[in-house]
Amino acid sequence: MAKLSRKTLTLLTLGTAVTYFEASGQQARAAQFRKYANWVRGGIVIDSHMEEVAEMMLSQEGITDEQWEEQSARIDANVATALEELGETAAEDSG
Amino acid sequence: MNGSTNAQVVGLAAGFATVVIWLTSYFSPGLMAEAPTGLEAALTGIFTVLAGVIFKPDAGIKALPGTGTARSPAIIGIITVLFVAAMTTGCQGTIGAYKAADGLGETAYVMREHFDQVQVQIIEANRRGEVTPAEARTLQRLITEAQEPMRDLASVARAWQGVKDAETEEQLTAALAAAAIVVADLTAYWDSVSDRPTSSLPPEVQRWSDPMLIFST
Repeated sequence: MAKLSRKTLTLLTLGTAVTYFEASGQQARAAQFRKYANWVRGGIVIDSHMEEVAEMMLSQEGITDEQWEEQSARIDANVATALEELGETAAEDSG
Repeated sequence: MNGSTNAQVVGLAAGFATVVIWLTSYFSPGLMAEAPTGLEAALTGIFTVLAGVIFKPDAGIKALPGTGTARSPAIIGIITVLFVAAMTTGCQGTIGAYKAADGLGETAYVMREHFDQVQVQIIEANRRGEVTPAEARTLQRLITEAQEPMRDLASVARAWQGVKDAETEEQLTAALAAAAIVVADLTAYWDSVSDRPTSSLPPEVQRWSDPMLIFST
């Protein structure tokens, strides 16, 4: 229940605030606020995932080899993606 | 209210809500244990809206410099709810994961999971065009620098797990050899990124940095 309330509250406030700025013609502010809102939403996504990790930690003893392998493969793939895509963004002002 | 007053009212409401929650938690921990998550955010929003209704533009409150940002107390309340919600509820799951982790292996797993989730969000922010070239360069550097320690973290944790789980002398010997190689890699990395050479480490650790030495004594 608490989990649902938190998500509902945050998503409602995010959407409402951006909609308000857009409706009142404050487009630049709306864009800026949407950026901040997305960061906040990102934090909530992380936290939600970490909550699942916490449940996993409580439900098992130690980490299995399969879990280590899966995590390593996922991290390596994401590191590669992040470095490549950030590299493209970083090159934007030099090109 | 003008923009400055808005800023002051939001700050006061947030501070007031925090104090109210703290006092309630102190005097009635049982009640607060059952309070829904986000209560502080909701209270702050309510206080702000009330303040906005009470204080008119001529209330004479002088506050932070600034211009009008939002034009109604309601929207200020909503924005406040958002930020306070983010602050008060944004890291409970993460804290819970670290608390739930038992021992080196699980803590390492949680740390790596946290790192991965942060970088996933960085990727998504970049795809939305919310990362400037300068920020991208900084993030690139941070991820590159974090990559090696994150790998080592898993290696050390798994090596430690191997030593801990060893039931026979042969298993223990093999696990120690594997652990020694991991520690050697780690100290080599330490040397490469630190001004402190391995020789400045304590003798016990130095010994671990050479997988051959460990079995020679």
